[in-house]
Amino acid sequence: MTYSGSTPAELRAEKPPAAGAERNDMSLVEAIAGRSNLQNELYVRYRRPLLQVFLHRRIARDAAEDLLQRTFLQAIKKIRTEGLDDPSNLGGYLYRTATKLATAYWRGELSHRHENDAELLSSLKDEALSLEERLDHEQLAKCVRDLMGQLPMKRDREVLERYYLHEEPRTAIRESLQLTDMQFNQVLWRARQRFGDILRRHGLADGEPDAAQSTQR
Amino acid sequence: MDHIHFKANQTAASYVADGLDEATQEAFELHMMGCSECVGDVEIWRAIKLDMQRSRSQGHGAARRQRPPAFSDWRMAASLVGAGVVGAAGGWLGKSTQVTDLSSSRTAVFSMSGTARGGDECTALHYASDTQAVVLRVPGVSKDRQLAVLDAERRELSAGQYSARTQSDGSRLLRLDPQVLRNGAVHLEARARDGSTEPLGCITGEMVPPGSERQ
Repeated sequence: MTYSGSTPAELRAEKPPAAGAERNDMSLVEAIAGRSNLQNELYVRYRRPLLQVFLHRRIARDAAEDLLQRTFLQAIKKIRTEGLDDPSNLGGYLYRTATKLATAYWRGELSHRHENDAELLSSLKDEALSLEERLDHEQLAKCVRDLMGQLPMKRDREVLERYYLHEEPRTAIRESLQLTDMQFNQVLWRARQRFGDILRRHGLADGEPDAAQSTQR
Repeated sequence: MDHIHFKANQTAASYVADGLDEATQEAFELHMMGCSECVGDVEIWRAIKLDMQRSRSQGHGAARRQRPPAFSDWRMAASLVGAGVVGAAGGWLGKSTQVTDLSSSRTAVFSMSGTARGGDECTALHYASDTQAVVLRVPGVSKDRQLAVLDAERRELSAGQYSARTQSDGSRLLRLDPQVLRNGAVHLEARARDGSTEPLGCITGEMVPPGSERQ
């Protein structure tokens, strides 16, 4: 059984990664060091990626919120006391801090729950919130059901189910369905595009709240 | 690796499916720090994955409620799929069987499903009181990681209390002394050479009298 499909032109036409992130990191670090009121900007820029880092390490959402807060406070403290070795790489510093905190969390080394800044969190704008936080659970569930119902080929649904539900390695799925690596990616690409369409029909931007991080580009 | 490479390879999808090697995962996570588009992709794939798993667990819950009570007790083993049984020494089953059973034989074999991994709640393994060894199949552990077993205090168990081996399908077979499970929750994690860890889940043991599982 083979699988045919053309390479999506969009794959080749994706826009390049952000440029100028280093400069933005430097100005943000300078602002934090100077105690400017830019703490929210730090959240807006880095909350969503860091949240994914924690969730990927199977940390529950409320605990992840706690670790996010610790990560940001640790960074702010470091910037205001010692400074960063490389202020142009604030994202890298936050990432390392987050992964260390995640490890410490699973080792049981973070026994005391940190006080979250509830006021700050509640005042965060959409651009700092993840897709799941912006979308009602039922609405999201409906979107996924729509997606599964709209996938044109049974095999596409099978790929998603085996990949995400049964957590089979992609090589095993590819081999059993006789898909090349590119064909497997095309299945994922099609599903991603369709889900984006479904989200847009529900009035949501396609996974990007807005251009909050576009200042880094 | 750059943005175009990550997009072309559907790296966000693989990331959510735990399908990246350690170096690629780190490179991608660092890239995410400055790329809201890739963060959006990850959020979408994670939402899809979570909803599929929720739907399935709800479906399983409904199916369980329809089963005869005598079976439902231990089959309920939360998200763990009991894999069958048994026999005295050696000869474990590498593959899960669909028919689950529990006997008073000395080895009880279970298989951990994907949805049980990394869950917040511990999953109870039900086995006969005269069981001498518990074997648990743990799928989806990267080859470059070691399976570590920790007690309720998150201290690693001694080598004599468990052993693990890699199967041809990439899963690990963990053999445990049932006494370990009687002492409280047991946590599983995948450990990389650099000391980073990935939690795989938590199990507890619950004994039932030999033969009580049979109808």
